[in-house]
Amino acid sequence: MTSDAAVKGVGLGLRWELAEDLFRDAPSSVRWLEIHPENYIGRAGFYEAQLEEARARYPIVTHGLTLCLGTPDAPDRDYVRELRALVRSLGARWHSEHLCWGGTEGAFLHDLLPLPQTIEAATRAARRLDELRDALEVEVALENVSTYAHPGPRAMSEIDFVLEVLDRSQGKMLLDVNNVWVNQNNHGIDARAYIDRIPADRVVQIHVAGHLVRPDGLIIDTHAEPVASSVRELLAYTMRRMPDVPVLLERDGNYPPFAELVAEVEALAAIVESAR
Amino acid sequence: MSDHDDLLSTFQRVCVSERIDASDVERLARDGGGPSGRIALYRDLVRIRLRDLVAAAFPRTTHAIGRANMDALADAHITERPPTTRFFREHAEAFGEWAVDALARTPLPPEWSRDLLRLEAAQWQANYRPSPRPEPITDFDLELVPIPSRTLRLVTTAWSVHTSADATPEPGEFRLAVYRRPDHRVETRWMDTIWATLLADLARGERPALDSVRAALTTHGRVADATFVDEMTTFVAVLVDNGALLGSVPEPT
Repeated sequence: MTSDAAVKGVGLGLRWELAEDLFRDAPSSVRWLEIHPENYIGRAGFYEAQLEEARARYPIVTHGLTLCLGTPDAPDRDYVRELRALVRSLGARWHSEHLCWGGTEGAFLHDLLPLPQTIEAATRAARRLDELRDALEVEVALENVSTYAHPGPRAMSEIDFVLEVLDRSQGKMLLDVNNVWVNQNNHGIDARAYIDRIPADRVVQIHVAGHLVRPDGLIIDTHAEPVASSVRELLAYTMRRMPDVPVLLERDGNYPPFAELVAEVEALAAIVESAR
Repeated sequence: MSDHDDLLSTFQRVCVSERIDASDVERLARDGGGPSGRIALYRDLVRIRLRDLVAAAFPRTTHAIGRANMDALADAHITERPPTTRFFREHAEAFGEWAVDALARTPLPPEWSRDLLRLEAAQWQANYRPSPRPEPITDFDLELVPIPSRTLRLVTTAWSVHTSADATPEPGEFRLAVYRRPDHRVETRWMDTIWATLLADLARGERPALDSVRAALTTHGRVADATFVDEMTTFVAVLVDNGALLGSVPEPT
């Protein structure tokens, strides 16, 4: 199955831990899937078989973890070629990466690290985004990330930084509503004002996920808890501005019984439906 | 290097260095960066994720040496060799190679921990490494050059770490073949010495299998009697059925 126009409604991030239940139960509320290309490129056996089954059953889009748009090192061309082949084989309508950095001087820290919110960082991210778009020959979306600190000087607010990258590029946006909520809590931004300023016509996908509230009040973006009611409310607010944008539930740990996860997808689907 | 990139380099140093340099954190937190503790939080997040990966990739070794020791090894590895692969799975592989040497330099009890780590490293690789069927290929034939699976790993251990996770390993010399089966499960097979010699030769894929059989017979002073032929046929058939040997290179037409 190719993505065609079918990436609509609510989707689920494909994880090893969920695949068996997903393929067996095939809940109708899960309309599409998102995969991390790094989990499949150059990987055979169970992983290759799982992707084949997913491809046969669902429209799929790809969401990268390591081509972080603000990383100083130039992207590995061989990897971009492999990514292009995967994106094309899946018929994905768009690919997304994070507006962050992930390591420098040849290192990969396997985390989504916060960028200095400066013109220099925005310019690099915009250039990388457009280069990736050209290389992949599909739309590329940037995802706003959750942060716990800002390194160095801040020349602008987070939303201005995101808009600066969008203004300087032809990129689309993957709007992570949970991340906006996390940053409201952690940095005191106004989540609804942030959403209001996002150009709705650039948004191709929305993410929601659960988070962990530490005893000191700091919120960690774990993807290992149910989606908080506050995030569902912010999603409802967001969907009123962009009712046709597909929504993806990310769950990366502390997996509940599959029926609970499906119930969560159904709750999100109800929010999406009520916005139309 | 621009100030911007130098700042990121400083951030990386906070995450991977053995100890945090207070001046690095101070620089990152300056100009509204936020509480310095939150900068250091990223160090924890990076390390926790990589520790969890290593513990998941080497579960029996982690159990044997204890999670605290495994975390300390993972941290030392990050400091000595920051991850250089975008693929999470390959970081575990790189850790395995590094830790085999680290445990040789500084052993950790129990005595079999290094052998167990070597075995789990082979199993980890066999689990995901691509092993495409090359072309041309034909059914396995003793007269032809064999084609081994690229997942096949041969490991010799001084402890019986391949036995049940509940059993205490015994000392000895154990020759093991690790490979991925057609149903994607990883299989670990113990081999008698002559079969280990034979498989090591077959795995090189350099000469007709019959030549490998003759070499193994010579090495071990055996003759190709009916018992041997029967055992050898069974051994090879199991390897073919279970995916360790993919087939043979066809004769040129």
